[in-house]
Amino acid sequence: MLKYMAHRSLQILVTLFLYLALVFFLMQALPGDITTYYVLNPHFTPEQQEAIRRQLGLDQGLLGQFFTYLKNFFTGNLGVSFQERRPVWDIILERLPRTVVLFLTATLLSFYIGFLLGKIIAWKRGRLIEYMATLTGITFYTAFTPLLALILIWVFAFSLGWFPLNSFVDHDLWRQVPISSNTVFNYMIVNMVLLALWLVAAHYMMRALRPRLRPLGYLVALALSLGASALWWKETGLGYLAWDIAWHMVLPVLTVTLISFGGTMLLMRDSMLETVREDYVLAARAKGLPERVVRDKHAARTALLPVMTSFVLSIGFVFNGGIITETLFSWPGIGLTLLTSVQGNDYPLAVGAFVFTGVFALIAHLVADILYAYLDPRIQYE
Amino acid sequence: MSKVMEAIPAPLARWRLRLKLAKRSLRANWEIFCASKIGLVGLAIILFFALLAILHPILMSTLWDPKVYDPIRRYAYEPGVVHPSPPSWAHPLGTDPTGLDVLSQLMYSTGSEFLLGILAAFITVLIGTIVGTVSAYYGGWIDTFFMRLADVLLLFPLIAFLIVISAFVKPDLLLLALILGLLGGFGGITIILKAQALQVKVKPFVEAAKVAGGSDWHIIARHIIPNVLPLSFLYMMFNVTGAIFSEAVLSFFGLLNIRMSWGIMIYRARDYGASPFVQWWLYIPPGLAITMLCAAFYLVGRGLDEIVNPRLRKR
Amino acid sequence: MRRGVVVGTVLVLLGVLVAGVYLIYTNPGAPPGVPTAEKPSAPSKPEEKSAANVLRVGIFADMTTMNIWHRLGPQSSVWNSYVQDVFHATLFAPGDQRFDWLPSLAAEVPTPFEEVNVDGRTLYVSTVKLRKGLKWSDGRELTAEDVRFSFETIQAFGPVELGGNWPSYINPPELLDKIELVDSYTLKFYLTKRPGLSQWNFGMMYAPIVSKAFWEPKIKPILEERDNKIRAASQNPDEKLREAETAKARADAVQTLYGVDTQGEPSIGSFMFGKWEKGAFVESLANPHFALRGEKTILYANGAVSIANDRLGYRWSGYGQPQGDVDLEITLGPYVETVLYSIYQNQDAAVLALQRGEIDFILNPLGLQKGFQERLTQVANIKFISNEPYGFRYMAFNFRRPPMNLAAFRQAVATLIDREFVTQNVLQGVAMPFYSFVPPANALWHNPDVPVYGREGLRSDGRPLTRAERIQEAVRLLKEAGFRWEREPRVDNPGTRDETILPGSGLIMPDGTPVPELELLAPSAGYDPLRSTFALYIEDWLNQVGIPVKANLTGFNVIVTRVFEEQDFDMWILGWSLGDPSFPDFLYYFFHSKFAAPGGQNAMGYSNPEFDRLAQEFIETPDFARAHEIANQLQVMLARDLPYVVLFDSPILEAYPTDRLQFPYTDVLGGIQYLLLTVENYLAKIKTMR
Repeated sequence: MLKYMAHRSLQILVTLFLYLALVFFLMQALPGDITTYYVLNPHFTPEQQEAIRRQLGLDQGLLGQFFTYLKNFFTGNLGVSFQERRPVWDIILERLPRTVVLFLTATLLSFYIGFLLGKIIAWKRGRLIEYMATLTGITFYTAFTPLLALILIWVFAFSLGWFPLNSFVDHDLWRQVPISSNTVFNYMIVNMVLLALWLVAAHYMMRALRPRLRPLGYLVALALSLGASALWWKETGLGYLAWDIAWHMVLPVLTVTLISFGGTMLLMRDSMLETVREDYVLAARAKGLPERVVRDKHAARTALLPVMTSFVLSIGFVFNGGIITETLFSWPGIGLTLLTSVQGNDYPLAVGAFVFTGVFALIAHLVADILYAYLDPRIQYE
Repeated sequence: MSKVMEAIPAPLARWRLRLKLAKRSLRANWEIFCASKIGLVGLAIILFFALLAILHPILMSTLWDPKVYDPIRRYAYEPGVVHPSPPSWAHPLGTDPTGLDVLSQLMYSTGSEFLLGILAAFITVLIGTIVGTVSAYYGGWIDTFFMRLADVLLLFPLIAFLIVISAFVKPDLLLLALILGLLGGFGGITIILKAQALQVKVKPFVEAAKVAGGSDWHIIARHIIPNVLPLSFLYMMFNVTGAIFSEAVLSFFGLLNIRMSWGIMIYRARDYGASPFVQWWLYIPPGLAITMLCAAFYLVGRGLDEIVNPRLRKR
Repeated sequence: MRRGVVVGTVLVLLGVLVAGVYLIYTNPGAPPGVPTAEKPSAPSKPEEKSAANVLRVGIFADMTTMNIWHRLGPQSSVWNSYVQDVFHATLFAPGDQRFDWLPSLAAEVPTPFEEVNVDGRTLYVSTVKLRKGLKWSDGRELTAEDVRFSFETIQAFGPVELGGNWPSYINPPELLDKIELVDSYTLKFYLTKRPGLSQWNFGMMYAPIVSKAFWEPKIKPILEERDNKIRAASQNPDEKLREAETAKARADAVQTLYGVDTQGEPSIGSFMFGKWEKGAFVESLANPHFALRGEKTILYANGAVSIANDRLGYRWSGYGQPQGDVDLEITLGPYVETVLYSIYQNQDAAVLALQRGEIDFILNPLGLQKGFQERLTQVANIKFISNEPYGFRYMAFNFRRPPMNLAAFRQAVATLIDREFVTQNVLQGVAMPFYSFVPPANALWHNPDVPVYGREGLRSDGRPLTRAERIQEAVRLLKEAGFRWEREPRVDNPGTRDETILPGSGLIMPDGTPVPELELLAPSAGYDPLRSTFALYIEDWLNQVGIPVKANLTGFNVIVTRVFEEQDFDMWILGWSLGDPSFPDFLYYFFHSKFAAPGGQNAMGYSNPEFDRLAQEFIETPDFARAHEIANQLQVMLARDLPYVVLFDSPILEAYPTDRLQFPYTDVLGGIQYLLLTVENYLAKIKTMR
């Protein structure tokens, strides 16, 4: 197992190198990059242009530049944004919490819903409910996202006025408080992570309980964690601000969930259909166990594997944010940063955001592999 | 005499036999495909759009005066008509803010959507099949290289990546198809097709062909690829969906060098400030068209899945 | 069983640890695990600032900086200007509506330049007096020290190195020799040449003034570090390397200056910085020390202007006797205590917010599109205002390549372009045709008597030419210049229902070579649907007479790179916002042949010695009447030579709720957005390519 992980990690490093190289040479190949932007600026004398070339390392030749770029990457230096004259790293850190909170919530929700529905429709193979759920899922899955978001905004935010029109905070509320929204976003992330870890921990601790008591145990654990979160927010005095952000999240989360639950649902369904034929499921049925128990305890657990893998990969892509969602809901996260940096010719910021998101996807890749190896007893690694 | 008879038409007979077999398997597969109603729904939608695409040039040269119905430039002056105008007899789906006929735009764009989707998917599958089978057959560093490359391309956030590219070069339809095809072809599809090819590679008939002295290329082309093709074809359907969707999103952000498409129709409506409830004819037809055509190819893909992947069939 | 408990506990501990590290890393101020430390800063009741007297405004992009040096540098953005221009002020500023040159921080018109001899050099000196009692928002008084510091800082870093708008404040850099302080309110400017209007009145006097108390401690170390580097570089024996290192040190210093954090910078303008929630909103607060609040400016019909400020006990009048009919009377604001700029990532969201009454106004340099207007008509008390823009969208030619270098060709192209057809019939009035290089909205400088190909000359009744007539006229122009066709274009049955155009093909230039396939670069619909529409029609019209042109609808960046940097193009379509209307110096910067090198604005390569001579004089003359006369001549020359075919621009359409907003007047060049905060706002009026 350890050997496998080491091998995989090495492969991932190779992939990372390839990724960095690809991004670098791609940016070099595109017109209108930093080179022309500065070097051809008429306000600079030839000597100054030469100096800037040197400063940017453009006099080193392509390979030299590539190594400088690699060195900078591994020392955590992503450069300085043209538009904002701030380190790219600072800009990414500033926008990251907003993206993570929104898309983490949406990803969790859509996977959970997809998982539940997939489980059910696989069991109801060939019935009307399967066709209905499949058609609905596919329609949303292939729906033209911007239009769906527009319609949701028009109906729920504008006509009905149930939710805020856009942005991630209430401007009138927030102009009164001296703290920045990122503080609250960070507390929200910590809260979510702690909650998740506590629930996983509770799951393990439940094994010490008698099976009959377990459902009660889960309930208590859930109540405890929610109570603790509530207390924490009350204690920080930031509760109403977090609530405000959560309120602004409803519509974008709904959009992303609607669009993506279908994929998970169909994946879960297919995976279930394959496991249903496995011997141990047939055996469980033969034993005369109730259908629900067979479905949830036996079939679904194994069928969950590919869904889990896909989930972990999606978590990696959480850091990309979504350009469409972020634009339409005025939610300036990583995705929107990428779009505006590209439109504004902000080359270092675009590369920085690109590389940053790629690295997270890569880590998720690795985690998914290891998780798969760990969870699937059928796979042996030498 | 009989010898001659046998000698000359032998290839023809073999060919005929093959055709017969193909026909029979096609019919069997068609029956399985029909059993999944989902796939049939998809096929019907695709045929509907294909009809729209074919009808456009016919209408333009017969019923429709190009001065009024040209999807890009309009020279007719219709006094008293304020554009965008709601649906009427002359313009069944109304006109856009510059007076262009929405139905004509919709039908004109259908052709290019098909072209883009099918071209991109074809390139993807072509590359994916070759790279997948070659990696599976040879293994070694070729395999390692292509699998890592696929990993890398999987990492690229597709839409973001396309936005980066299109902000600099403004691709037109063919270039976009090529980019999408290359990204897809060297991307995830190779991993799936390689896995399939690996299963085929260890089958007895491949061993037999090797023993019989078949060259590597002969074995790949004659024995492995035909057995991977059904899966390739399945993924082609999903790729069409992806390509059409990508084009629509990029057009929605105004990033493509295309004169007319469904995405551009929505972009123009939004830029003009049309309300989706009042000037619905500017949003609903192109929006529905994108969704339906994407869904249609996806549904056909699901239907094919049941042929390729027998486990998914009904008990 | 026990293992589960252990794993669980480990996970919980790990979680707390990760959370702690994360919080430390992201909020250095907030200690981890002790979230209560945040408590004192988090108010329990959000009632501290009143919700009344807040102006809520929608904008479409976040600030990229709060640093004035960066803001007016090469990466200037209109959104930064909207919010931050009112934090600063200038010595003189253009007046309302008529753009009179009026004192702002200055007390009176500078003395005329006198020739003096300093250390054997001839210099020109003028005395500038400041108003007394002006205060920064931190309560400090504005003195001549601040003014001198501002100019010296521009010079220390170099206006050219600072880039963007800075070069126009001291142009050329060696123009300003030195500034002497006579007393706290009086300065003497020593210039190396007698300056023209654009260099002095509309140049130096329009430079922003910054606070010496705030900036000096920040700028000193930057300059010291730079000078140290330059000194170190001067040891280098290799002359080329020495120059390169010096230049690099200077460029580095500018970059550092751009990056300086300006938290706590005092404002001299009507508003000061409040809060910036990045990505969501910016809040500005009325400057409590703003001394010009309540200042009355009266514009008289006879051209005279009077200014009265009771708070400062200040009176000024100029341009004649302040008597007779009054054109306009303005009392300077601010009229609100808070401005809240909400950032919307798309126009649709902002219009919805305006429809729901969540914001009062939308700031958008392009105004509202027609569909949005339709939606807003349903809102109660909404009023629409349409104003003329100060800019134009144009098509331009590459003079370095045939056949674009031939005047007849350009004139034929201009003849074929039917601006009225596109603006009225296709675009249905959202755009209006333009013919002259100074937009008519700038009545003072606009010359209406210029030749316009395809509009007049053939017809006496003023009706625009028909398509058939345009084609015949273009064919005539081309033939006269020696062009030939393999198949000449023809119009059958012109003027009847059966009129058919038989397109020409195989156009041959006078020297006998065929016209190559030409490319027309134009913005795609994604950047500007109006221009891409125009390009498609132009393509068709030129093809009709056999000019083989293909429109390439592409990105703004692509066009700018290919046209202005690489100069690899045939024709292009772009637009300009022309900035300050008081002096149309763009006639010089866009068309003088000295700007034809890569990177210059004259990417056409237009070169006319007569034009160059006049344009040079235009920029240097201190005589207003002479400048005016030259401007008229320049416009005629340009209309004949056609480096640009000026096409159209769209009126600025804006909407505001009358129950919540009032404007002293709504007839404003470029739109009432320029009136929103205070009535004078020079810094927002800067030339931009679009």
